Amino acid sequence: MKIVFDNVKFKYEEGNREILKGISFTIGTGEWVSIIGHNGSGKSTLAKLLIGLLSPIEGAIYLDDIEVKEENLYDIRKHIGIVFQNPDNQFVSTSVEDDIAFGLENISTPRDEMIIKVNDAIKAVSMEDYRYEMPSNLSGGQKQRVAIAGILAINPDIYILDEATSMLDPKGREDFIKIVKTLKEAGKTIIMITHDMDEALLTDRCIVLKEGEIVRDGKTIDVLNDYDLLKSSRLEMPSALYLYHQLKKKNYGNKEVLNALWELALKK
Amino acid sequence: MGISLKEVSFSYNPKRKGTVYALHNINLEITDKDEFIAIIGETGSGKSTLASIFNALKIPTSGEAYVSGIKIKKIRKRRENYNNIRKHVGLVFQMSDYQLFENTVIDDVMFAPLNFSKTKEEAREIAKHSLELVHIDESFYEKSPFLLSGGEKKLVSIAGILAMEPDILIFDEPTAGIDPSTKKKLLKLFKEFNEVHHKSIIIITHDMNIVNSYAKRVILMKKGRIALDSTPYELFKENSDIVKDSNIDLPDTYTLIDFIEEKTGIKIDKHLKNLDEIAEVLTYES
Repeated sequence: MKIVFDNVKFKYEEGNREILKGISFTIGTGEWVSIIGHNGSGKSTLAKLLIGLLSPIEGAIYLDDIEVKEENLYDIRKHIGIVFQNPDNQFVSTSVEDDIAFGLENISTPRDEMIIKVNDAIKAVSMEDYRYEMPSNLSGGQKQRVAIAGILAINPDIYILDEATSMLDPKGREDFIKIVKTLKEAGKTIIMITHDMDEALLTDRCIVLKEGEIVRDGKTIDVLNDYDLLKSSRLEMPSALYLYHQLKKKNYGNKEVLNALWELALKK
Repeated sequence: MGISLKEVSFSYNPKRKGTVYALHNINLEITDKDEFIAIIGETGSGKSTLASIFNALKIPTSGEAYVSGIKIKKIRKRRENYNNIRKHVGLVFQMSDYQLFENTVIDDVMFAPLNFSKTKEEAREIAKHSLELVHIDESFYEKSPFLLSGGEKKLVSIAGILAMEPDILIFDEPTAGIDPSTKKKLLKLFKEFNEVHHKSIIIITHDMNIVNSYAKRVILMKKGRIALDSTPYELFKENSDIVKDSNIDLPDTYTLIDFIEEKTGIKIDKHLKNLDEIAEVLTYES
């Protein structure tokens, strides 16, 4: 499913500054894209526009030929799943199991099918031991897993992950990335909004936002290897690329070391 | 004076049979000058509970806790409170920017000193000084805190704690969800508090790069106990099993150094604190 942003502008109230100043891009089916940018650059606003939580003041957003707007929301949300940074905002039920089932009920899934889908989703995020637990009693990392499971159960075409790993510990993050890679192989479109440059490095394409504008949209490795661009966008390079860049700047000559760093950067 | 914990245990529900203790038998000394401590550990390991005892937000179930010589115990008389402790130990919560509530930046920062019975003039002086420490200039004083950027809000909320003039500052996950350049600014500020103003800094974090680059001492919590109290170097270099068991990352410098050695045989000193130092050493040695 193709996502199109056509000259999208957004601000919260008349007189306030524009959060997005005319954004255009197209993301094709099965792409794995990272969106990076400083605090307040418009990343999360972009995600909220895409799922129809907010509406552009100018321009339009399309999923294939469906325009993202109020009367199409039921349709849109079957195709897009989003995991927010703070999973607390996304729980509605009193048990992990019910919470994962909630989205399925919303799209009128038959009961037998629902049971299978909920089981599979719980298993995919390794939360089998907690299926009857209250979501509010879980740790931050566990809540994040449940939020992800809720989306997996619906199995949408497009996944938006908004700083979704920021509350996960290393093991949780590793599991999460594994899940994302499986989704990618299954042909899903994945958009990762992140501050973690090593995480962005996993993606194929990278869009850089700065003060509500796209300042770069390209192959991830090229984007994240552009020191000046990242610096002026108030971001930083992934560590291996940063060291590579610093050594180059100092005319460091040991090719073996430089190659090793490059290899590490490209390791997915 | 600082903080002194002797066999401190804490349970949220001590009377219940088989209750789980969030803290077990903690013995700890923290001085009120020049320390830079990182408290790390998995979610639920007791990090935040420990920090809230430092600030008398929680009272030990057993054992003794002293902050600046004052014993933390249940308040029995109405006139007693822990204002004295909070003057010594300032705690900045993870979502501290949600705690701003006054109409202007300067009023927000003046709130604490006014509460500690300073005059309006004194409070304003203290607030100005606190805002200077976080590099927020006069042009912000009359602005509404709600119209500031996320990073600026964070700085104002820190100034609000500094206005209590604490010797020890605790930051709970100060960099979660903050972009790289704002993060760098904050950390530079903490370093300044520590090295120029000789305050003790305690930072609760999941970010091992921060631990490696900034902390002088690291306390690893595990299931309510202190699993290790050492320098970052000792933790990451000598106790890699502990690192694995505790589900924490290695700092980037360690990962890079290991990878370079594996590929090229070149050994680099793991005491190095950041990537710039590694670049320096590599170029110097070649």
